[in-house]
Amino acid sequence: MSKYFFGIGGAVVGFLAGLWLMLAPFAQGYQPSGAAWADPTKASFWTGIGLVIVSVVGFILYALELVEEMRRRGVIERKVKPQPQQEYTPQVASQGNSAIEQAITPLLVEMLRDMQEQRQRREEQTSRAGETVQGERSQYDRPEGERRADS
Amino acid sequence: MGGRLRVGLATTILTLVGGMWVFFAPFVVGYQKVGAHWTEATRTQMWTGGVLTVLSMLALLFFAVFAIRDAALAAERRRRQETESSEVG
Repeated sequence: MSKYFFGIGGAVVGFLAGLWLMLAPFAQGYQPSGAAWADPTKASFWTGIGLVIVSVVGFILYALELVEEMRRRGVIERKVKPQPQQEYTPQVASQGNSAIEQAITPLLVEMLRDMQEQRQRREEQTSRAGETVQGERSQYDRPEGERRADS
Repeated sequence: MGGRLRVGLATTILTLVGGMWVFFAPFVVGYQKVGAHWTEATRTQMWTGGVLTVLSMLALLFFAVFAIRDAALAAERRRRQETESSEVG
């Protein structure tokens, strides 16, 4: 990530040098204001403009790369664009319905399984209770003498 | 290296070339005769061009140094991950 700072620094230096080259003939006085531009002034001025433009482009590109690198490393969070709301159409509705069905179907299957297990348990309990009652009833059906002998 | 970074590096190289041009422009364009007393314009341009050339070269040099360092660290990390995954597997 440090490498981008050297690129940005180089672009800033180029920008400042370009600005200085554009202003130096007037600042230093070897180009009087209002007079026709001499060769040194033209060379200095146009080179300065070129350097300024190139440095600005370089600065923007290095800065964008630096921001991208910081996003990749998690230093900056990526902005999540909000999804545009879809217009309601029958196609969209059917897509939505199938999505809902896909979500609900496993839940329904689980519920049915639970209900079946509960019914089986109730039936087993009922049949066990029925056997016990039958067993007790059959005891009372036996002649009294046998019952007294058991007790 | 992405396209953006390449163009960014190209601008730094252009700045270096621009600095060299500014340094030699008085003699190339012809408004400073060789051997004659240097004018104010020549002195300004040679100093500006010289400083710009040196700083651009340093920027490129340090960019290369840190780019190589980042590449070496990334390769080391990848090798460590491969070793760990082969040990687990």
